[in-house]
Amino acid sequence: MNAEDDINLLTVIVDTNPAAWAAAANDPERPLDFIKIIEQILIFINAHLSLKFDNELAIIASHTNQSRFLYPLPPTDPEAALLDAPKKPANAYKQFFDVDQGVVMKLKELVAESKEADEENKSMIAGSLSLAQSYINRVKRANENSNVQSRILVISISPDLPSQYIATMNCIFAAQKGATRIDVCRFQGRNYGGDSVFLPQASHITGGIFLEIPEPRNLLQYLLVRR
Amino acid sequence: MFSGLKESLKKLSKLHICVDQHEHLQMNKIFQENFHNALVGGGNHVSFGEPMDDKKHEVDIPLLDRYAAETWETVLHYLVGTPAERCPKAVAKLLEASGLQEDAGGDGRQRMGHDELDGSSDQKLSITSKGFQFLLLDVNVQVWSLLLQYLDLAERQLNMDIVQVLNFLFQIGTLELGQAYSIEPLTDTQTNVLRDLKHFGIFYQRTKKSRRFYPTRMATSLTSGSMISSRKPEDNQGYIIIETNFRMYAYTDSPLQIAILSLFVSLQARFQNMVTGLVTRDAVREALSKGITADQIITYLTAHAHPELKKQSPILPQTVIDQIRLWEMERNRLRLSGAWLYNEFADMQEFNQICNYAEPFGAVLWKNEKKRILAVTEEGHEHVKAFRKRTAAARAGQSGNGAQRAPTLQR
Repeated sequence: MNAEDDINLLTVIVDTNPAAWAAAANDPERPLDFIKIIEQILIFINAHLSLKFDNELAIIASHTNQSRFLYPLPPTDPEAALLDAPKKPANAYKQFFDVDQGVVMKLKELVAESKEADEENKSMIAGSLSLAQSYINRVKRANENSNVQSRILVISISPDLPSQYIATMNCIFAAQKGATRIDVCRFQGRNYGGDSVFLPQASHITGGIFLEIPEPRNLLQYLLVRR
Repeated sequence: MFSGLKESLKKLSKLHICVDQHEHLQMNKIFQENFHNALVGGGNHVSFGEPMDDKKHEVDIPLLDRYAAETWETVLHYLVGTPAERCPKAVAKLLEASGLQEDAGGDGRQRMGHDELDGSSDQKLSITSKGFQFLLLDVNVQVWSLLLQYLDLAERQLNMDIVQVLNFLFQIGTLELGQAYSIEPLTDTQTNVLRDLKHFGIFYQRTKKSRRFYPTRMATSLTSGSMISSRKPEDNQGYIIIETNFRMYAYTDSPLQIAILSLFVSLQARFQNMVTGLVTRDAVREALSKGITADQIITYLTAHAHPELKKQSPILPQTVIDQIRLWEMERNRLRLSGAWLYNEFADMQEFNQICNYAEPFGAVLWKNEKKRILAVTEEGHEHVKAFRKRTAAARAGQSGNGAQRAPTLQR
C-alpha cells in the first residue's frame, strides 16, 4: 500500500567510451548515432521525472579513464550558475529543461577534455557502479523516513575489462544487498562491443533486466515499455 | 500487483485519459499529443509560463516566502476574526462562500452589494465550525480547499471560464520559485484569477500595474504534495510544550496561534512571549462540539510541538493524548441505529432458535432472555423475518395446530 509514497531513485550510467561509439558509428551494417541515443535517453529521463514529483534522478558518465556525474551537479559548481544562462522557453517544463541542459553541457565538457591518448577501448563500468551506489546510499540516508526504491540502468557498449572483474562483482553484490536492481541495455554488433560477461550477471543477480538492443532506433520504446 | 494495475487504469479512465475501446486501451488523443510535447520539449504552447528575463526589480526567495507567509497569516487572522485586520473583498467573499465564515447578522445579501468591505461589516462575519477545522489543517491542504472553493465560486458567481481557471491553476504548479513571469500570455480571465489569488499570498506582484508576477512557494508546491510541509520546519519552529499534568506553555505572541490554541485550551496567563493554559475537559469538549475531532487537536499539537518536546517519543505525553481521546469518546456514548423489535415469542425454544440464527451474522443488537425481546438490525431484519416464517411453518406442520401465534413486529 505504501508504494505510492516511495521515492523512486533512478541512476542511469551511460557508457561514453569514445572508441566504442566511434566503432559503432562507423559500423557498415548498423551505424549507431551517439547523439540519437542520448536524445532517447533524455526523453526516458523526462518520462521518469514526470511520473511523480518526488522521483529522484542521477546520471553518471562512464568514460575511458574516469566516471563523472552528469546530473545532479554539485551545488557549489560554478557551472550550475551558467546553467541559468540559456533562457528557458515557455514550452519546456522547468525540471526537464534543467536536466537536459545540464547533461548536454556536461557531456560536451567531457568530450572536450578527452585526449586522443585516452582512447583505449575501455570503460569504467565498475567505478560508475560504485559511484552510483554511493549516491543511492546518500539519498537513502537523507530520506530515512521514507522508503527509497533504487534502480540502476546501465547503457553499455564497451567490451568487458577482465581487470575489472573483481571490482564489478563486488559492486553487483553490494547492489544485491541494498535491493537495488541493475537493468542493462547493451548495444553490440559484429564489429563493436562483443559479448559482455559481467553485465548479464549484474542483472541476473539483482533481479533486473538484461536486454540486447536489437534495433537502436527503438531504444526509447524498450526503455519505456520494458520497465 | 494486478489489483494495483486495475486501480490505476480505473483512475485513468475516470480522468478520461485512457479510453476503453473494444477491449483495447486508448490514450486520449489530446493528452497524448501534449504529453509527448512536454517530454520532448516540442510544440509552441506556453503551458509552463513565459519567464521574464531582465533582472529589473530582482525579487529574492526569502522575500517571497515572507510575503506568502504574511499574506496567508492575514487571511487566517481575518478568518478567526482578529480585529484590526483589513481584508480584501476577494478574500472575504471566498471565506464566506466556502462556509468557513458565516454572517452572524443575517443581512449578508445587502452587505455583499457594498463595494467596500470595511470594519463594521467584518464584525458580522464569524467563524463556523468548519472554519475551526480548517485552521488545524496543513497549509497545503488549506490552500487546496480554498482553491476548490474558488473554482466553484468562479463558475457560479463570477461567470469565469472554468477551463481557463483550471488551466492556470495547473500551470502555476509547474512554475519556478523566484522567477518572474510575464502576464502577457495570460487571458483576461486568468489575469483576474491572478489578481484574486494575490490576496492569498499565492503570487507576488510588486505593484498593481506590474507586467510581471512571481509565484510563491505556495504556488509552486501546489502539485508537489508534501513539499511545503517538509520544508516548513526550518522557518516554522514548534512552540508548544505540554506536560503530563495537562499544563500547556506556548512560546508565541502571534494572535492567530493564540486564537487557535484558545479553541481547545483554557488559557490562564499571557506573557510577552508566551501563553500558559490548561487542557481541560470543558475546553476540549467545547472544541469537540464545534465539530473539531480529537485527532485534529492531537495532530495540531504534535505538528507544532516545541523542539524540546519533539525529542521525546511519543512527542505528546501519552496521558494527554489518551485523555483527549477519552473526552471525545464520552460524547459518543449514544449511537442511534435503526432496528426491528421482536417480542411475544411463543416459548423459549423459538426465541433461542431465532437468536442462534441471527447472532452469527451480527444482526442482534440487543436481547433480553427473561422478557424474550430481541432487537435486530435493519439489514438483518429481512433474513430473520424469512427464517421466522420458515420455522413457524415447520412448527405448525409438526404440531398440527395452525394457530401458532406469530411474534409481532414493531418498528
